[in-house]
Amino acid sequence: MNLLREELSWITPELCLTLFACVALLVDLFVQKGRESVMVGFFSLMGLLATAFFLYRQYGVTPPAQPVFGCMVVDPFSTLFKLFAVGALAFVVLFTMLSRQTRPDGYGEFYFILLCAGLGAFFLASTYNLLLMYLGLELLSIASYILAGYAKGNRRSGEAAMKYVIFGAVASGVMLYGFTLLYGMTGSIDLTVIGPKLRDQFALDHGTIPISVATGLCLAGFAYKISAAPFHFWTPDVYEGAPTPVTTFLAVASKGAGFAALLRFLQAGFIPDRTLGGPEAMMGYSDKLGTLVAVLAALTMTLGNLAALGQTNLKRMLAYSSIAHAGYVLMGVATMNREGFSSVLFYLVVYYFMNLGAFGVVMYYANTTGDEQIDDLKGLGWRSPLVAITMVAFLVALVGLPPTAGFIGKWFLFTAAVKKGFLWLAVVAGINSAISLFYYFRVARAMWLRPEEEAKYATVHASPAFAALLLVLAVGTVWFGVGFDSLLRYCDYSQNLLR
Amino acid sequence: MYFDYFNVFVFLTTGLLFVFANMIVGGLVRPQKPTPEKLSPYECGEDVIGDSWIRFDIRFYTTALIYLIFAVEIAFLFPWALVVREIGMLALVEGFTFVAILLLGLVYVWVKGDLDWVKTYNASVKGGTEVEDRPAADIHGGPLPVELLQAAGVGPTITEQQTKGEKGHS
Amino acid sequence: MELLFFLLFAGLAIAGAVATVWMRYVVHSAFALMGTFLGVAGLYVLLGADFLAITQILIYVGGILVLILFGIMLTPPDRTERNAKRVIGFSASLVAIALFLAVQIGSVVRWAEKSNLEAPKATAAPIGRELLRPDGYLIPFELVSVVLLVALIGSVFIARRRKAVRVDDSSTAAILAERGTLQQKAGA
Repeated sequence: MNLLREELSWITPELCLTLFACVALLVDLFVQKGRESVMVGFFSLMGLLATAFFLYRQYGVTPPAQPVFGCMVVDPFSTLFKLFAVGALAFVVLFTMLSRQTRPDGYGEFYFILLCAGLGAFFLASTYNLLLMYLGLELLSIASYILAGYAKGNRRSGEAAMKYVIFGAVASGVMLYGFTLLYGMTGSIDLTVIGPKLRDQFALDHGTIPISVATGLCLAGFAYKISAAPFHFWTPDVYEGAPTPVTTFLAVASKGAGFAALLRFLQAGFIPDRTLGGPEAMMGYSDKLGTLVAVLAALTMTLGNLAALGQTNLKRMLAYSSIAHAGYVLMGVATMNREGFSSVLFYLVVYYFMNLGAFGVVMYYANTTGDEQIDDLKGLGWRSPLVAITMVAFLVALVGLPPTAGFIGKWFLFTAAVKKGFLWLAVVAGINSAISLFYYFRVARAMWLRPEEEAKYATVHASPAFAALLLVLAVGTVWFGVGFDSLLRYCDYSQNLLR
Repeated sequence: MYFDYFNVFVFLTTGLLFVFANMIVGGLVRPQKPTPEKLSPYECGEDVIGDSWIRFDIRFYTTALIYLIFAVEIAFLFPWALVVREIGMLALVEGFTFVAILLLGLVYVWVKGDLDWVKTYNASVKGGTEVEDRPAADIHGGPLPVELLQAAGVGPTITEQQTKGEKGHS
Repeated sequence: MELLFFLLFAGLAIAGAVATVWMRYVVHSAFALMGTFLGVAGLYVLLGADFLAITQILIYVGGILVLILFGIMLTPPDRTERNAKRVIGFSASLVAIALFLAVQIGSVVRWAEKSNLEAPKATAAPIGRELLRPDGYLIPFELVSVVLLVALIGSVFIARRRKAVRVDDSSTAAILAERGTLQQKAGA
């Protein structure tokens, strides 16, 4: 019984989040009609705060890897992802409360589903068990489908949800098939067992084809979740159609959780380990897999950036930009080593800040004007300087220019790739960053360089709460560009568990 | 091992035989003298209006959804029920947690009014009658066309609006 | 004997699947799908997974198929024949089947001969024990209820009609009376 209690104490963040989600649902049901949305919103924030508190208590004291209940693991890696999932959720909740697109009435269930999506991300980030990984993924996905279609009056929102469901069902089916093949080969659904067993498979002279097929199918599922080419088709439509706070969630928390699962999957099964015979035991398979991911990365960033060039809708442009960023991050994954993986973590953290900020500005803009076209941003710089200045900071970070965190993040990714011998990939990424300058710059130009008389809309100042949110994000974006040491150290430390 | 399933198979086969043997024998034996009345869907004096391909009310779908979710719950509770005595208190707590979480779903659909088959006409809204569903529903649950309503003088005053919180009854 | 039953069930599953794709009307397709579900359930029995077989029948035949049928009845009638793109569809499905077989032969067959994995004796009680053991699948078991809850609430929310209609200054009785006359008119 004591053992049970101790294990329960390791999953307090998850328990806390579940409890708050359930109570939020009840609050929505039984509080006086008309006020429930605001109340549930605040209640969800409280829940996220409590969860963050429990996570923070684990932050320092976590041993390298604490197995919990047989199929979960609590370690610095998962704590990092969970902390940022909670942070992203808190911002999404705040955005929802401030957004006009998400109307105040009938938004009680919204928070419940959002919190449950967060729960899915939690489990996705902290398990080596394929079954639990799949369940977490499904929880996250099902919640995301509903969130994407939440604006029911809106045709595009419905279309977004529909496309998301169909693509998502196919992708998770493919991934599940990959999982079953892995199970068939190794007789286990625990990645820590599958890893060594796969070495046996290599040794058994079965060739790499069966393993390649299984891994390929699994990778397809992950690629869908992180919107990497060639499984990125859903991204622009869903991001554009979904309510903006939901888009923010998809671009930030959902994608982050997808990367967390991908890293765990690769690390447990496919990274050469000295205790297990080193690279020889893998028959060079690890490097082959890395090359495959590298090709995917190049494809993803190029497709994303080229498509983003022609966009006129700000949300759609950011959707393509997020595809491109998935490509950059995959560059770190392709290295298949510790340094690359820490650079991935670092970049994801930076990505959280700049994308939350950019989508926040989109939401502010859509709030005040009911419009998301880039050309209509004209003169925003003169009308609401604070919003425009923070947006410039986010854009600069998205391009990857100093002194922002985007630069440092990309720097680590590039060096990791070059050290591993992917010089060509770094060159492709460099060219892509240059291309991205064009479309990010177009937004900045629309905000600042057009004469004021073209501005169609009256001056609307950002509300203090909203301005504060944007400032926090902008400060984060710039601060991690200068004081990145502690974050980098934590990212590296969190690799400890990764054997 | 398969012997255990043999009785299931026999049962299945007998059931199928009962259905199809009767149909086939009946088809061979009975006289066939079709008349228009006999070929109509209901041979009881009721003329069919319109098409059998009407769009069903979404409530059927919602109910089926709710049923499906709880069917899955049962599928999980069955193995639980087999071993709950053997494992004891812990299993009991686990099972009840499982059911309690899903019970929230039942509470949700109940309170939000998704289980109410006949939507009540709600007179609590000021200045008019709020009808949860649509201006009028015919006895089959299908909508009446707006033209008919307008002809009856009800139509033009219809204004669409977002349901407040979508609560079934308050 | 076992082979005979295997052929029976596999044939049922495949014939059902082919008929699902081939049928002219969607409703017929849905009924053909039942054959597939039953055939797969039979295959589960042959593999010793009796609990899975029962679940398959309970949930797929009893639940999902009904849901599909309601879904079909919800959609507006569409009696256009579905043969417009038959050639493309046929070749696409051939390619898909070929691809699937290639995957199976490339992966499963190659190791299935050599590996000596024991088939799990999957009856309900061992599954229950695994689900409830704290170091087994307790967390997934509880998480399933959350997944189901989200699915329930989300799908009911999405399926709910979004508009309400307010009828000004007419009392309930008036509306009901109106309905009565309207129905008489419609009937006449």
